[in-house]
Amino acid sequence: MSDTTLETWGAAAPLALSTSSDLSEVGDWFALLKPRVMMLVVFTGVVGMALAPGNLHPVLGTVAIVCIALAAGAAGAINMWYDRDVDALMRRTMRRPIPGGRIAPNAALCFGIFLSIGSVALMGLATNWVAAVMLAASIGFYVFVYTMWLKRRTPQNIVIGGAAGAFPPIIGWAAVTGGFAMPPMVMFLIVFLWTPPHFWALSLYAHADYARAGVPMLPVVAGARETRRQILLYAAALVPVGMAPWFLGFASAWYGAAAGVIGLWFLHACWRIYTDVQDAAGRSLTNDAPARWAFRVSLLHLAAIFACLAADHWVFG
Amino acid sequence: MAYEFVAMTPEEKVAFHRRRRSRNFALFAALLALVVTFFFVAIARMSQN
Repeated sequence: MSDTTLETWGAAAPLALSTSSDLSEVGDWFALLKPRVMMLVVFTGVVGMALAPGNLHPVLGTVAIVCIALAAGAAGAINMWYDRDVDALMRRTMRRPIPGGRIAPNAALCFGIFLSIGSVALMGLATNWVAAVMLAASIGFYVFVYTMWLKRRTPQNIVIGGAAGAFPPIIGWAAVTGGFAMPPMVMFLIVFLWTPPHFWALSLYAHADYARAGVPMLPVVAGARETRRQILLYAAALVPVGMAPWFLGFASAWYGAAAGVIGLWFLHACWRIYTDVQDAAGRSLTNDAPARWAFRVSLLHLAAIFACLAADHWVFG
Repeated sequence: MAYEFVAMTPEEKVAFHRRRRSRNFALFAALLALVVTFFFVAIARMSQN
């Protein structure tokens, strides 16, 4: 990790060469992996594995989970490398290791590529190559489709790009079975539909950041009022889709009821965004308090839906 | 890579060595974890077969 050399030019003048990686702590390299994003990604992958029929050796299962985590982190590191100019302009991201000057961009890129290749290879060796190919596809989708292609071009960036974060249940399922089936596809759809309202809630109260950086998030391009409407539509669609595992017969009515309640809770949070006190231009007069609340609810919503799926599987088989 | 030479105070030098030592320990731990992982993956794959 370190590419530094310490040189001493005589006892009276101790000199050191300084590169960005001189300044990096271990925690900075960990931060490159976007650990908070990684946690939810890993959790959905674990549930995908838990629901899959068949047995995977516990060691191999653990390695598969680590591979999903490392791949998510690798994609995050490459994303931070590519977006370093944008990150430097946004208050939320300007203290990240690269814009903060603690890690050199090329070092971050190498770190991300190394982890990408390593996680995919290890997944293939530990489980099967279907899971490994899906893992590679998820990294590629996040880096090339979302980060490099869509993010700076269209307000639909997060809608299409959200697919990258929806891969883990499919990867977890494939790690156990070596194939695909309806349940992981439904889990994919839940995460896919959850992503836009989750990020748009964030972008409502961080829209000034995105505008300054020139990222065409929906509130920047279409305005806050249209964003609130879209958030509500996606949250409404998410209620039946969250209950779909029950409709499709791979979860019990208990899950269906729990998913319905959780979905309605999120829908209520999004309704509060929609009915937020606004000025004539649609700008919030409450400092976007409902959007901040809905963002937190969205995190709990996804975690709760997948926790219910796993609990339902263990209780009712 | 372009290097920028800067004089370090004794405190900065201590911090520099501390950061480098902790990075080296982390790298060592990661390599060790990789070796242990490959060992156990091989054992698990063989036991499955």
